[in-house]
Amino acid sequence: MDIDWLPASKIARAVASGEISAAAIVEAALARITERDPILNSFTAVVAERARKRAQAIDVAHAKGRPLGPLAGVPFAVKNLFDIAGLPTLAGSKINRSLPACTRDSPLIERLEAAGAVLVGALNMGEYAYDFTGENIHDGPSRNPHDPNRMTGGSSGGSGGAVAGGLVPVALGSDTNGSIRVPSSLCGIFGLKPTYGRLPRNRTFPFVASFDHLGPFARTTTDLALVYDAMQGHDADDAGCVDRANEPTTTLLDRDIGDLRIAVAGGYFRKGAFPEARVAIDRVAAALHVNRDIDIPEAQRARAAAYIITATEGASLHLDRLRTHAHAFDPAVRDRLLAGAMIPAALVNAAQKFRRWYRDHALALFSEVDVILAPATPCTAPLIGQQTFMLGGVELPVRANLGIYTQPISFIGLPVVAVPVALDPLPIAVQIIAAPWREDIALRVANALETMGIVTAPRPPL
Amino acid sequence: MAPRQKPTRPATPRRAPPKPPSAKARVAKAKIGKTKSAKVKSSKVKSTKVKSGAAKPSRFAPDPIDALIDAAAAILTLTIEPAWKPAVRANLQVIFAQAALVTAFDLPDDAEPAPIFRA
Repeated sequence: MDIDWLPASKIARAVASGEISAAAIVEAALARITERDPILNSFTAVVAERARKRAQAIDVAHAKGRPLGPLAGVPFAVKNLFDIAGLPTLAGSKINRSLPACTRDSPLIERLEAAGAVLVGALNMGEYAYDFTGENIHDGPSRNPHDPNRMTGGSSGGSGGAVAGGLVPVALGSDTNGSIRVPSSLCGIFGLKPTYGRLPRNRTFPFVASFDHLGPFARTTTDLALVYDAMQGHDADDAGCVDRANEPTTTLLDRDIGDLRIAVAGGYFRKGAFPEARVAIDRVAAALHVNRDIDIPEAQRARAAAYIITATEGASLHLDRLRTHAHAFDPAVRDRLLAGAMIPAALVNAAQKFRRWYRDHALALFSEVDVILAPATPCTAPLIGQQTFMLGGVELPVRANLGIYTQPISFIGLPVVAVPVALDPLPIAVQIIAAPWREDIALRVANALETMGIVTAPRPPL
Repeated sequence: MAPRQKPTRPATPRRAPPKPPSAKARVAKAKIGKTKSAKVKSSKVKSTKVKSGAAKPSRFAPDPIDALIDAAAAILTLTIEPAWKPAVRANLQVIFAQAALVTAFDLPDDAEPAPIFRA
């Protein structure tokens, strides 16, 4: 059994059947981290002893004949903005290193461990999640397993690198403007950004309350669904979490998708993309026999409004730290936050009013279609340190523009599965976008494409 | 006790549905992301229009964004070191260019912002 690249679903099955112990699975994951992370730089903390104890408890439970959870023995790691008992929550910053250690895990870690998964560590990320590159001035850049000279994408860069590099089969990240979908694209893995309000965010370090989402990364659609299902459920401690019944998706994955109406996002989403992004979307559309474009109205303005709200809510969050610890920020993050602090409220309110207009018009599209396809990023992974790229003939900063196609979608909280197309030499993802609360539909389409062999997480040469 | 009357909004005539972006907005759109060249095109965010008869500003008068940075930093008690100012300025220019795009979109007076508080 090649346990270095096993998906979570097969690990759980093997552990439940007694074919392999949870301890052996966890030791193998810890060994891979020791061996590969000096290159990938995806972890900022490894909780080896905690993981070993947890794995041992699973093996004891199995020996006693107790039922194991659907993720029994599955190693996972989380972006370091999730609270982990015993560690300060860094959120990619230097400033937070002086915070006291957390006394309790975040709800999503608790739920995954209740399902049998085993936390092995915390992952690198862009400072305070204000990033699309995966670079971090304090911890060094997370590196792309397909080419360590290239970006993972951010801000959940360590999550992308750890899953694509085979260190763990699943990881958690956050997505405010694209921080799950961008690393999924550049690292060539699957990522799910659920509907805004679906998963609780309490006991994680926030960024932009209006747009913050949490979600999983994995190398298969089945793993994505398994992990997502294990995390569903209301938590009143997150004011943005909607009290809604769990809607399991794993059992629906194999349903036929012939009844679904699918279109490709045109207009804004066709502009600026590099050839590889167009190849990926065309390949996915052809496999699904999609020959219809649909215009998401005012998508560029939506991105602009998301930009304003992000800058100002981020600045509000960090205002005291900007006063007291300005020198301890990554300068690129600090200067964006300082600018955000100076924006007149009238402009922010205008952006929120536009958001409602855009939401109403975007949701109306779902009376015509069930799924919209769009590129996840305009290009494959840029080089680490690359400052600009050419988009539509204009030289623009990489850091702010890798998310041009993700921002108009998270702006109104639509669920999205990013699916990797294994182009040579580097992968790139396509967004499968569904109506609110229809993660099941996006996951079904992802599973169908994976079954057809159109999308897959390529194994890097590590 | 008389029943508490529900406050009502003054009857405001609804405006026409949102119109396509104006030429002004298209100009702003073309400049999005051009960190060094993005200019604020919306009159709503221009604050230094010189009134007729007013003293002509000195050609060395500070740029309005520099003035905004200095004033906002003082009010918010933020320290902006001289070396940071060009980057803060560039970021403000980008945000104002994005804001010009948003405010150029015509919404009715009774448009509600996305987050609605419910008691």
